[in-house]
Amino acid sequence: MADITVDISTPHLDGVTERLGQSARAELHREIAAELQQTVQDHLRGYALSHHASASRLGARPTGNLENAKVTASSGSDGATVTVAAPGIRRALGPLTIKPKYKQALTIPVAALAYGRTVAYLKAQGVNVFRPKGKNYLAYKENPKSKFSTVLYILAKRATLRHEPGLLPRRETLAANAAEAARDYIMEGAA
Amino acid sequence: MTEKELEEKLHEIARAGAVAAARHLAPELQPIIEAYNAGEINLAEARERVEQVYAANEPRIDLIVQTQRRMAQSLGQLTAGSTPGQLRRYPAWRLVRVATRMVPRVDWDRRWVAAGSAIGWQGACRDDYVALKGSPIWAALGQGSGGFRDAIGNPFPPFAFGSGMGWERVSRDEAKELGLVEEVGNG
Repeated sequence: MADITVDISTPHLDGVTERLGQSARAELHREIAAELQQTVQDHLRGYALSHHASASRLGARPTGNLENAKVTASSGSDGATVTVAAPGIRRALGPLTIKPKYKQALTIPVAALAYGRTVAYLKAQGVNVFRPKGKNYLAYKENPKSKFSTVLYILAKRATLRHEPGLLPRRETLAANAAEAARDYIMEGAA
Repeated sequence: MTEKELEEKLHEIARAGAVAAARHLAPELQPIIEAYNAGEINLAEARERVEQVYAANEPRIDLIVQTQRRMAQSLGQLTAGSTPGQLRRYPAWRLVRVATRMVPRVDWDRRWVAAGSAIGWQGACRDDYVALKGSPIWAALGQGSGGFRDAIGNPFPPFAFGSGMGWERVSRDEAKELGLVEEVGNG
């Protein structure tokens, strides 16, 4: 999950919200939350459609982690919160170091056959995945008699994913859309 | 839909996914459970065999899980898009591709026409995949109007199993240009 606080307060808006009752403030925040929820979701989908770099490079199917991200919103009279849950979404805030939770090493796919698939799945499909002695990768042989093998996964104790600020909408976009929702509520909804 | 109702619906979707996955795997899991209960295999062996069953069925479970996630996501979108302000500013949805597929369906034109014809194009465009949020075309799409048997049955995306289609918001100005807003006021 990623937490980003967007402050849309201005002296004028603060003055208006102060004059609103508790129930109207809750409605205002609900509108802002709904707007930001959809702004974030639309952005993630657009980003995913245009950034399937890893999958494209390997000629594989994208994992769908971003376009299927869970974006939820909650709000009340005190404010609104939009939460994004997707594997690796914290890359939006800075470099992200990942470590294996249950296994000895991370398996980083480097072949289309392995992308988005677990070692267990490949083994269940009859792919003879093996680790060559002294090597830090997993491989398989298309022809068991061949002396050539294809590398499927690199094994790593940890990996650092680079900072991807473009994963989430820019603060200015979030603030502008939130302000637009607030303006609409004040001009139209609360009238 | 209230937040409580949304939460209940999301739980229902998650339960349905778990049940669908379990039902699919039951014939393979049952003998393992029986063997464990009969003392023929120990817990570690049972675990390993269960893991093997899951691994062998990964694509199918993936499809079930991804479909459930897409449904939950769309339901959230539907709820967020139904506030008075959102209905005022974005009264319609457009059906667009939101996720890539190795082999995309090419029959969305036929699905749209069949669903539109079934509801007399109420609140829906004939020339674009755009319809008011309250148009019955969404339910018709979800029910597979026209005989599409892969329909899921919900009035929100993904509409069909494995589909990469979803909703995009359509502004009031565009909905006006398409002649949708005048049709039924605020949508």
